[in-house]
Amino acid sequence: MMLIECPFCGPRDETEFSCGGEAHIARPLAENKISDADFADYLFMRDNPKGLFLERWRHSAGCRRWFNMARDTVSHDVVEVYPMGALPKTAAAKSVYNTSWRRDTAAEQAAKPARASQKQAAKARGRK
Amino acid sequence: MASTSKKASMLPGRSALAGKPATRHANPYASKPGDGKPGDSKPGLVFSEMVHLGKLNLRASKSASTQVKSVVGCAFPTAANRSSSAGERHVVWLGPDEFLIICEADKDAELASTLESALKTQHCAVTNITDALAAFHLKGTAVRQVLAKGCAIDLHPGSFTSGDAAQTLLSHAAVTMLAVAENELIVICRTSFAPYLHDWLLDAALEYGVKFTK
Amino acid sequence: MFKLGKPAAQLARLNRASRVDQARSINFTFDGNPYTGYAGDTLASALLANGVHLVGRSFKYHRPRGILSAGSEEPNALIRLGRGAYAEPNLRATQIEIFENLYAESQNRVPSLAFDIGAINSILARFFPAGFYYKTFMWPAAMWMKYEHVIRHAAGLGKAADDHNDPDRYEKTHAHCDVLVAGGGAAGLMAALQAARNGARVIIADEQNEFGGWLLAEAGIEIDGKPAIDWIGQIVDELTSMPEVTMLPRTTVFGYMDANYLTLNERVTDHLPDRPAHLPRQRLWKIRAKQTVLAQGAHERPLVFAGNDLPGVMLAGAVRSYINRYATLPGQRAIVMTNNDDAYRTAMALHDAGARVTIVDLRAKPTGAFIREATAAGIEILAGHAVIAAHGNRRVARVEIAPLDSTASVIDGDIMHRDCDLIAMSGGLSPAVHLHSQARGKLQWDDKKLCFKPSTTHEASFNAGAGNGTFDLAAAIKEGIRCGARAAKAAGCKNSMAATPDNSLPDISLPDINLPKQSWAPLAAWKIPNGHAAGAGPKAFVDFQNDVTASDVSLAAREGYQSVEHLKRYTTMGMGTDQGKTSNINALAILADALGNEIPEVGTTTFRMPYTPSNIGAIAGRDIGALFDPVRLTRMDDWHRDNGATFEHVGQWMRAWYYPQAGETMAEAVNREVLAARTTAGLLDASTLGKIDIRGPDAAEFLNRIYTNGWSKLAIGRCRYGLMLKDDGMVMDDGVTTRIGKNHFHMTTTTGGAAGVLDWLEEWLQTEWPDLKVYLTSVTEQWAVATLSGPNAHKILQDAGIDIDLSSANFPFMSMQNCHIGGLPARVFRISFTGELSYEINVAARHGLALWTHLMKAGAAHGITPYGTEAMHVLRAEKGFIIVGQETDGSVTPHDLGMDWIISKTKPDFIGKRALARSTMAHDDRKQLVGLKTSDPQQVIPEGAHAVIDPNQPLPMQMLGQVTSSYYSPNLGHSIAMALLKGGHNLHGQTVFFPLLDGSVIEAKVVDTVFFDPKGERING
Repeated sequence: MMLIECPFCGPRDETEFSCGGEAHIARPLAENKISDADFADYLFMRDNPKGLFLERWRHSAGCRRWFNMARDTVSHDVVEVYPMGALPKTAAAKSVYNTSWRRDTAAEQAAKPARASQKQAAKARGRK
Repeated sequence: MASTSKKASMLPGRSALAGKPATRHANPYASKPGDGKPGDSKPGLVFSEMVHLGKLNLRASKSASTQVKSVVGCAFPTAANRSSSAGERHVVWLGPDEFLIICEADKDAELASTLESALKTQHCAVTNITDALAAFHLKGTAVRQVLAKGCAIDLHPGSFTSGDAAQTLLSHAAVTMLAVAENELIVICRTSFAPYLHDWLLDAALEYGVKFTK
Repeated sequence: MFKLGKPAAQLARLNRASRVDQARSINFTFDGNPYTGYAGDTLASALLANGVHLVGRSFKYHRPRGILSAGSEEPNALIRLGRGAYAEPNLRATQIEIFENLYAESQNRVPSLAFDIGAINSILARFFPAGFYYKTFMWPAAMWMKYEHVIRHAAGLGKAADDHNDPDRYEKTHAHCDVLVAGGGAAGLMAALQAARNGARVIIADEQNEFGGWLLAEAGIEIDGKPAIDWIGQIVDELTSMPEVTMLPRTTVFGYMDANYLTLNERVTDHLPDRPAHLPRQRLWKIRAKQTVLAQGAHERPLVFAGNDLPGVMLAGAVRSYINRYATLPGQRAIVMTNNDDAYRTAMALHDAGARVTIVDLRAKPTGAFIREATAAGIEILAGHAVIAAHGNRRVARVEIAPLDSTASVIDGDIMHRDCDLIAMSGGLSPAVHLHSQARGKLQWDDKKLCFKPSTTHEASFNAGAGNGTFDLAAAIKEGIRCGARAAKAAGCKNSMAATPDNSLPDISLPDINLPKQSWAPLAAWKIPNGHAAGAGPKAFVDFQNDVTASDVSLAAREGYQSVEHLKRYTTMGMGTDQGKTSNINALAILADALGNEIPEVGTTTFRMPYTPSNIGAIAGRDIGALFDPVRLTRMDDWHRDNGATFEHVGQWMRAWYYPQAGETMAEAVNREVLAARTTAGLLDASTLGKIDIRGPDAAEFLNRIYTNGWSKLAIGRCRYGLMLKDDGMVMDDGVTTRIGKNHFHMTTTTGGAAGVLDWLEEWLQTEWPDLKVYLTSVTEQWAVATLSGPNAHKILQDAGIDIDLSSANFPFMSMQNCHIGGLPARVFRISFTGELSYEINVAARHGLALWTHLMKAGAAHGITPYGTEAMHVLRAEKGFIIVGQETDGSVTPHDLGMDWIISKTKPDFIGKRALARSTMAHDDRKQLVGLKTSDPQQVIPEGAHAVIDPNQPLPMQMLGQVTSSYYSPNLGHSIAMALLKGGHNLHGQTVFFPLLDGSVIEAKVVDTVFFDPKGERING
């Protein structure tokens, strides 16, 4: 059973965690029009590598916080644990991030606010 | 039908274990569960329900610590999985922006509203969850051994010391545990899990002798 | 019960000091016969002391088998222990400590050990080659059902308990330590002691009843001038006195998993005649160790010669153990056959105990202190010879011995015969690398010692002693000390009492040992020749438990099973309860020879847990019966119980299903409840609904993104129904959410979805929208909820003393009020899941029962009727309200449900919005929700039934979809159903058919999903 280092609670048994699958999948905004095929990259396509994988995990039976984890799917070695919204720091995990096919997808581009609707979105969120 | 004019604050309400079905032991061959080990007058575990122990969930950023201290009596704990205490009150770390405030029974509503007023200029959530959670007080020489049967974290007195807190699993129940002293802990679970935990503790402590007190 | 006659005398018992207490006799029964042994005996040693060698029949050929070993590697002496519900099969007699009135039976024999019908298989043996079952039962496929019966009958070793309700108590526990030491022999003990002295929290476990490992089986070894046993006792005493050391005898470390997580099985009371009721029989330990020291020792290998499976053929080390540890002489006339020095010590032990001994040494010119000692004692040594065949009926009686050539593979000279009643064989030692290998450590082949031993580790672990290929005692002790010190240091331990620079105590100094130098390099002689062609001649066994012979291995290789993993599965070699502890290396070597390969190239099979079979009861622990899974009860539960409710499980919750009155069937009870809710009033315990408190300046915007409809404009105090989708556009949950304040909402979810929805909302807040200022808190259990529904709801609330104006002007549909009912502070929502005038009354959970009984009292005069979940389902189905998880299954969109009205057209985004625009979502043949009205109004279509257009079409029929909800509606007087049918929205008015399993067909018309009060006029009472 893996021992996972929760960034807040420290090492805990794997049974206290739930895995949220592949990390760093940017969500395209509905107002940004992309093709169904491009949208499918976001909705359906997941990597399943033999080796280092960047995943999202949640300490579900503990502090309920999400975090990112770079884990080797073969050896179960955890290379790095890093916060949500951050990028990995170790060279191996960085390389996995940078070389992912996702970095060039239309879905990833569409995850940024569209210029035209930026104002509207900001307004809807009630912020400047 | 006449309505009762009794104020709610005067109604005692029911404990988490009130109306609980009789303990259905997993093992019918266990001898006299709850009576302690034969011939042993000092059970390794004595536990009771802390009926209506006040419990508030607070979600707020660290900046609320000053107000929390002035209202509750103790500030936010200084580290994750720690608690701070003042008398019978504890502020337990649950997450980077989430705390459990424990107070005296029947002081919860008052404390919640005072705290809410004190924090009204901040983005926060003070939620009274006194009835949503049940608390057990556990004491005895075998208390850590009993808990270790269902809990995977290291409960060695040198690793889980007074003031330490943990949210974890105790067998099949999600719990928040608070170490009060070497042989004394508070275990908090969702109310609907209280009957299960009660039965589980009785069974798990059988070999050390166990007594449940009202 | 069995009559016990006078027990047999222990004729093979030696009168000497040993680990058995000859002052304490113990009575036991084996196969119905009474015997006595002594405290400290195993079942195996006690049987041997009584001259019993035949203890079982083999698996495939039903050959007579005896006791091979003295430990957990035993392949033959498998015993069924105990009676009735306490019976347990396949226990190793070599590990069972005897106790008063122990009851044991041999296995795998019909009708008795001495005469066994199955032994005919042995005569037919040439028809049972490797892979027999695979070859014979392959075809024709139609016959498989018959073959299976035959094979199942033949398969399996022991017989499980007759009563499957295990009456014993089991415990399991977690534990943590700095250093876990597996194995309590000399190396393990020294590792534990050194680590503990260096300040480590140590757990040391050993499968035997005493610590000391193989030193328990030795006589004459002195350490630091005292007998080895006393030296061990001194270390054990020191360890026992240390507060941070946990000693676990009778405990097998059987599994090694990721991140130094190890599982141990402790046999707590198995050895006691009366097991105290408060103690578990066994305890499973789940240990997370910072470091481990693996010191499990080594297993002696048998030699592979014809007839090597006869009772009376034993491992040489085991023979020594029976003599020294158990004061039992397994034979008077012994042949010691060996390829190494170590067996000479067995020869000396036999000789000293009074047996006549001949040493048959495969080596042409053995030399050294042990050989000189044996020679000086006058023991006959036949060097360069081998036992080429052993003969006997139920025990070995005579052997054929022949000289071998220099390669030890060809008979080179005349055969001589010797009578004997014991063969002590030694084929060298194999380190027990099981845990190391389970932990993904690598192995290397030692060319000199002829064994696999650990090389690199994957986990944080160290190997010490014989398990590391270090067979010499002094070297093993040294390695134990070093590993203990290293492990403690690696675990970060510091000893504040020490003055050395790194705070560790100096290593324990090495003791003096009186052992002469010994060669640990055996001769490679994997298969002893017998003068016959390959595959012919008498059987030489490699795997005793699975009856795999040397020629089976060679045959498998010839047939192309060249990978060791294939060999294992084809021949079943190493697949028994012993997992090939004594057989694997011999099989590998013979396979390598057949393939013309080197042993390391052939490699080993994968080592898997458990090391020895572990009791499933210990793995289950207390997670059985009532404690198998928590049962969650609402705060009104005891009222439901007291009033005869029948319950149903909803997740972990137990909900009142219906409340039958005397003599009522379920249908009658449900009909009565359903009618009451529409004619007078019904009361439902709705406490289990999920409730989430949502606060923060961005709360409304957050709901806009989570739900499909708009939330910004919802007024304070008003409620709105919302539908949540996953990002694939499929319905995930629904519920009513109420605006409590400007920045404060109270969300309800389905009972089953409560935990999942909270997690879902937190996930979006934490991972996608951390900029939103929203806090969530679960309040599901803070509130107890009673739903009062029906035309008399107003009257009842008034009589119950509600302190607000209930007029629709003051308290309209889809709004919320804080008030008091009978003095109880309550939060009341005027919302409806029945279509009737309805109030969901929330009170602090502690007052749940008070509220319920108060309402029941107030409603008595107004026909109040408690109703359960079944009536709730019927009531909502009459109104065409969906239940997520019943009408939906993760592949249903709002459009499929006919709920386009709930999808905002103006919001720029919400979860699922983009997916709903995918072209596939517009397909006409998606399954869509429809209502169904059966032609026969009394007929209720079974839920899950599939619809077809033409019931007479040929098979397989074209299926339209399935019924999701189906009930009899007492308010309408006919049955109603909802179904998801392909293109359902365009099927209105059509007739569809439901062919059932019994051949009957139900006919129904597709109608609107709202069956009752389609205009919604009843909502105001």
